[in-house]
Amino acid sequence: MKRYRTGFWASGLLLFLVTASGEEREDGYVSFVACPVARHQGPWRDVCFIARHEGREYALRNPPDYGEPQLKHRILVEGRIVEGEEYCGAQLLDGRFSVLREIDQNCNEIIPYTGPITDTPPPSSGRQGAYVSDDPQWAHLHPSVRPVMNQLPDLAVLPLPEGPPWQPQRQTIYYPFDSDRASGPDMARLVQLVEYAIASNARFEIRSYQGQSLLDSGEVMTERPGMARQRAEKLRDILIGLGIDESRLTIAWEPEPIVGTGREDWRSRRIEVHLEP
Amino acid sequence: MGKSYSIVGLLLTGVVVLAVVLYLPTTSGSDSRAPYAYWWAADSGKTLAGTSDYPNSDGSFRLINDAGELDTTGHPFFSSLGPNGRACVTCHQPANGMSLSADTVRAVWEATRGEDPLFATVDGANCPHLPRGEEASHSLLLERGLIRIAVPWPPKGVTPDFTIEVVRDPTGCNTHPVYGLNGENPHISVYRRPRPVINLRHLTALPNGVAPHDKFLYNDKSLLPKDPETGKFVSLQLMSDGSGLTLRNQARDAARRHLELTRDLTEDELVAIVDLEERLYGAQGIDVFGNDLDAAGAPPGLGPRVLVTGPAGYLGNNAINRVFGDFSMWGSPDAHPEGLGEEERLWRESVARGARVFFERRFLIQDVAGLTDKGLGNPFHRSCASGCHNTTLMGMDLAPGFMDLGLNNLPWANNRPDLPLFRIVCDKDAAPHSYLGREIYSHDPGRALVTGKCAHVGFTMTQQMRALSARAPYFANGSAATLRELVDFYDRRFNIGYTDQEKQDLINFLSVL
Repeated sequence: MKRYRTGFWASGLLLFLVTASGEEREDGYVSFVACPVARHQGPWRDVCFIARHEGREYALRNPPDYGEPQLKHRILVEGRIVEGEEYCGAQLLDGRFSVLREIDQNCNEIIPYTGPITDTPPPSSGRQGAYVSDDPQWAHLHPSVRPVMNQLPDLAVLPLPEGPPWQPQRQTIYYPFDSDRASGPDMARLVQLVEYAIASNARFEIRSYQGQSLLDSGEVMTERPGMARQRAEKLRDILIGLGIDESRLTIAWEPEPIVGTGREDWRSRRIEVHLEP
Repeated sequence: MGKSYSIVGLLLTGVVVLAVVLYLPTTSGSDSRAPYAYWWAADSGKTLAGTSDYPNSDGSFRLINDAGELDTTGHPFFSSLGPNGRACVTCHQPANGMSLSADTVRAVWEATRGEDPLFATVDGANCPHLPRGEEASHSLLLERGLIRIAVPWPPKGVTPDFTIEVVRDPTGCNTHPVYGLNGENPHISVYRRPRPVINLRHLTALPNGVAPHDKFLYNDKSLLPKDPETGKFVSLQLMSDGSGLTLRNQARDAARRHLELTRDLTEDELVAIVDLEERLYGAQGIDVFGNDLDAAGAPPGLGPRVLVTGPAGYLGNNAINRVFGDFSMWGSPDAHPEGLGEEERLWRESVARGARVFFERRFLIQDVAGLTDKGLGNPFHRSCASGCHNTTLMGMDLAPGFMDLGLNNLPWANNRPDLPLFRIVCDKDAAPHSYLGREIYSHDPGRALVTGKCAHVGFTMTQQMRALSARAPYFANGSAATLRELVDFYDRRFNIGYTDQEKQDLINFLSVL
């Protein structure tokens, strides 16, 4: 079985992108595997995460519920450097990172709290997306104030038209490396599409892919064989469970991984959803 | 000089106050008031009042039957339907928050010399082959309130992605030629506490305001299972391992498993059982000083009455909706009614501080498979309320998800030589347990016995937090004999560093739920 641990192989393709050992790539992209490092942000905040690579610290921030880093596991970081922006006291990346499946006990560093990090914007929401902070600043609010949780923003995205004329709809769902777990917001959007499809008697088409990631080191990580199919079949089951008639559903997957380029290879790990009324 | 005296005086006062607070009447989780007096035997024909109070060491538990008074004669929940003489009520006792406390078990043992149907060997003994009537045969039930759960292995229709072997078998059941893992009809025996049959409207409600988790399991973003009879999604909150999807399913299964009924429950029986279960609400109703927690002036989230009328399935981890509501009327020295005794004032303030610790005191929640490995990050810096116990009025985790808190798996589990120990090895291609890897030692594989997935070993569903004073011991495997032991487990597990005062405040807070 071809697995990423055994799938590392040298690639000359990337060599021109890397200037020299210890220096970052010239094209502004990074792709590497490292231990995440948690940074304690004091008694009232969530921890944030960074990773060190080629002498530089990068901030790790995924879209909500895509998956936060985990100590005891290495992460695959794939992103574009956002110059001038910092998060968690480190260089911000625009991209994705994936928690790797096997345990690595070496990944266990927590930077103690030494004072506020002023550059940190509000943390990515993830599961806490619908939360109001429990910071003491809210203590003045009396519980008799009862705009209950369904009046707070949930994870759903823009509403779709409720009636004709019906239009084709598209959604792209991105997955972490070797994972078939989609994010909450992506599934919330999918629920909307299902409602739209039922209302418009539309056909659902889903096409699933799996990928490779070309690392800055020249190594290649390849997702486990069958990931595209696994993702597609899981999504098919979800759609049927949500009420889509199997006869209105077409699924396909590409068994071969999309070849990694070292630039935003996370986009290879995806399902494209197409709704045709 | 005068200033020095003032400081000394303040210090002495502080010491006295601290001593009083630490030695206030507090919960031990046990009921010293002859629990057999409140034992509800099968077929007793008693009347269940619309509201009934049952004393415990922290005051009284209050049970509300929202349908009003019920003559239980012939009612299937209270009747011995099967051959072993048990009824549902045998393990779901009104005095014990509709669960079963170890103190009650002991009292029944002594009063009936072990003859009560509760001790039926099918699961009231450590293993059915053990001689009935000997204490050693029933030690897990007597000491920890544990019922044997025999799980078919492998689960029907599932190909497990791990192997399991018995490392230690103190009950003899998992290696027994008939009842064990290598028998003709292989089963794995694990030992679990009966869950409280109260406030089920809140447990079965799908979560509001956290889309898409009214349809999706939090862990892996697969769909929640559906009720096979109605086709509607179910909350998965009923059982610790997610089996028994609905009250009807659970009743059917329990009748066959625990009552040894050899037929299916009739439709009438099912309807009667489920209708009753859905109307039972319970919480601590009287505090340790004799005050009515449903009355005006008490924190509004306490007492069972609010559970009858309160909305079900909302997130309570924020300043607008707090899990158990506001405690400021007990926390502020200015808020106390005139004439309140010093001891009671200090106790109320301790409860209010405990509520704040529960709600606000963050700590690093680390290496909790099912939680910190699913979108939240490891570690996750949250409080009890904003971490896992976030459902308004109830305290279980709102978004349905299973997790391995460390109650069953080594190395975090309390030392339990009385429980079986299993060695689990993940298949080569299986996803491993996120923090224990591919070789796991467990007293109870939990959810993995249902899904067959190695990554789920030790996973359980969080439970409601009401009626704690009525139903010790705590946790699904009864590991904490008292609320102090419960708090100590969390303190050790997450290296929180609670002070003794914080622990006592938490205990006092938990005792009024």
